[in-house]
Amino acid sequence: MPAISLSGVTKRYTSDDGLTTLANQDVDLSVEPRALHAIVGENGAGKSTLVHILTGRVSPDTGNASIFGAPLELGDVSASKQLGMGLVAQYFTLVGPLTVWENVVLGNEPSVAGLIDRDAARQLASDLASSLDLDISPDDIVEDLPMASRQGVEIMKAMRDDTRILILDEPTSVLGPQESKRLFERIASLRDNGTTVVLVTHHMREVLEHATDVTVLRHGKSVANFERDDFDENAIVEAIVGRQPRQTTNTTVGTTQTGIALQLENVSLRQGDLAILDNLSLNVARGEIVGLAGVAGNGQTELASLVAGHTDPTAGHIHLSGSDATDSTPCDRRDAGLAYIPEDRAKAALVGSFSVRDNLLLGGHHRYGSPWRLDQDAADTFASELITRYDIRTPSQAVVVDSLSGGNQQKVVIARELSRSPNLVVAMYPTQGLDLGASAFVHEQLAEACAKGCGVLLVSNDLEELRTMCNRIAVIYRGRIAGIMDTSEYDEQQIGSWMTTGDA
Amino acid sequence: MGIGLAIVTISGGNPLTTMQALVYGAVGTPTNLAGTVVKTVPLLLTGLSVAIAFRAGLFNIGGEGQLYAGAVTAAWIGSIDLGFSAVLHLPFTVSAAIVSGAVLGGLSGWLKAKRGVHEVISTIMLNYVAIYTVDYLVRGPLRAGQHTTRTHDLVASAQLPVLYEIPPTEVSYGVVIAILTCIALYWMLFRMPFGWNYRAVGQNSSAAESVGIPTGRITVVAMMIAGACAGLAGALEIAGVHHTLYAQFSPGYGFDGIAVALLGRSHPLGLIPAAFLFGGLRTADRWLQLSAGVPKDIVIIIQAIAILAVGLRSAKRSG
Repeated sequence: MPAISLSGVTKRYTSDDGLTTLANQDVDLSVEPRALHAIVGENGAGKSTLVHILTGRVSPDTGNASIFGAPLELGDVSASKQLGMGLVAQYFTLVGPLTVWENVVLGNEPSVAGLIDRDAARQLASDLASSLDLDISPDDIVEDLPMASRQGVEIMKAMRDDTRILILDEPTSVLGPQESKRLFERIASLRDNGTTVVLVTHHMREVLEHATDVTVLRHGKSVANFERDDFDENAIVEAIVGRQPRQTTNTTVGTTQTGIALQLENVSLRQGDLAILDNLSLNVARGEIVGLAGVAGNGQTELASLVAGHTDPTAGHIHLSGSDATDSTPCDRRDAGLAYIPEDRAKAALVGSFSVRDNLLLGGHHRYGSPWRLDQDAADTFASELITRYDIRTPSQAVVVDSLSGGNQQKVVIARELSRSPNLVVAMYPTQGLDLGASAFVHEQLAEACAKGCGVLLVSNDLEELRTMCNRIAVIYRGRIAGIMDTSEYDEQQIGSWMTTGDA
Repeated sequence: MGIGLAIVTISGGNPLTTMQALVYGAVGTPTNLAGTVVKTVPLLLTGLSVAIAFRAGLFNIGGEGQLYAGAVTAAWIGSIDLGFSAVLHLPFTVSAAIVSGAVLGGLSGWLKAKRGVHEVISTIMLNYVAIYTVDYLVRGPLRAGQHTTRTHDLVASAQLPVLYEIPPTEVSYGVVIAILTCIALYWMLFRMPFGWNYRAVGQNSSAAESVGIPTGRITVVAMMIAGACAGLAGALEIAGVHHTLYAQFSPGYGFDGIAVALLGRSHPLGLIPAAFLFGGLRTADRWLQLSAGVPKDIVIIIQAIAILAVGLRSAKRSG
């Protein structure tokens, strides 16, 4: 009897303007007990919708489900929970200022005479922590914990109440390599104890190394299903993208050193007593891609905003193309050839309600026409050139950028930033959340910019991406560069230990 | 509107007479229409003040204080006989009023950009500062006589010429200035390249910042323009309508501007019908009480329903 059996699940969304999207179309899914069943697919393939349907957060239009043979009423969160379904969402659902035990019991608190039974709750949390082999005290404040431990708290929450099926949505996106390894060890021991695990992921390696089965979603349909014995990387990738995968060329470019694009000289950033960046030095030559690896929250974001000019360092100097830019405004730095691809494109790179054209021009409208009047024709021409050149899939340049897919939105950002022929590109997690095709496009564009003599600082937590793209990889740990290595001498163990302990 | 009339019916009034009284009271006779236009002018400009700030992502609650600042400046400079001709004196008076509103608004913008002080807090506090300072001036240094609480009359060279007169109502050229201001700000927002930067700051300031748009500077400029509009409203009231400044002369135009901006969806041209509607309701309320026997507060209910309807519509869109 399968642990999860879904058949014929269809969910359609109708938008305001009457367009219907089929998020899931006739999806079948069968998960065996104790399996580690991976669900893979490109962005928008319907993975999240499927997870939400399983956990009762979304009610499908049609379809049946049963859990260990018992019929599951779809669209009812508590029914899913009762049948033993637990979810660790991609974006954590924890209350930061509360303690671990408070988070664990939140929503269903053990009580005595109408008051929370603190001792029982604390005991429950510490039992869960020890059974999951997590080094977390029930009284820790959640927001003080590192990301890996917060995820641990999420797992504790999900595993409470005799959970038999644990669903993990992109669990490794916040973890370093060692922590990811620990997570999969934990998953293995959960499975030994009888838990069934469903893993939603983007990472082919996790599937190949750990999964027992994999279901591939494409355009909302379940298109393929593989068991461990007949796993074939190429076949899975082909099922995901629906065509032969593009051969990823090793895009590392020969260093044609023509000067320094970026020089950070003993840069520090302090907030009170806290050193967010601590005497950090780093160079990026023109024609070179330098990767910056590190577990999220070690100063990457602050480093990028220092280079972009949004914050000022408390000490040290920033040189762009050889001249001191420490005191220049963001606008001056951009005029001097800086391009910036921020971390969160929806929040920090695009104005969602503006059209595709206006996002392509953003910050540069004054280059078209006079200060008194924008030359609409010139702006339109420029935008349509970029749309063709960067292969942005959009019905027209006048639609709002919000209506584009994540990959096409990122293309808009890339087109805007790289069309300015920059000397230095700071790219923050530029392929995060993108599917294979769009990621490959971003990589090609960055490599091309680099070949034209632009320096690239690529911040990423995808080591595979850094290995194939970069000339050198620097690791940031607690605001310091823990080490730098040439990609020709790539050593993942070494990088991993720099990322997690800062030790050489 | 329908709901408003339903409330009239429920409370025992006749919806048809009420409707008639409203329309008649607002635009039924040349005098009523003139009254509506006179009331529309300050509402349009204070509405513009709120709308222009809103387009940059700011909420200007300080329209009332900025209006008083403009009014007192106009009343002061306009009452001094500088020996200028109207060609110089009037523009000087109005410009000085605009500048004083802009300084007051810009102060809030500066506090926001440099110190992170929320503009809602600072504009509300500056309202009190402005209104009570004006109160002091009108009852003190600028007082026209021992037993009055108003300033000296404006000299003729500082008064706005009359566009249309139907005694006792005078419609000054203020209405032309207000509409031209709307068109100018529409042009700035939607035709000038600067407008895209300006609106980008309002829609997503971190995206604006990441492409090098100076968000702090635009915050200050936006609040200055907002203050200037409200200051202009004050100046036109003084130079075009009252020709003197009474203590507490504004019936809350600065606050009504928030409602006008909401109804006009913060679009400079959309504000024109919105302000006209509010001006009309404000003019018709006396008629309502006289001819339909309906308390004039029903006008406030109708205004509130109009705003709720706009709010619901935009909530439906985003939800």
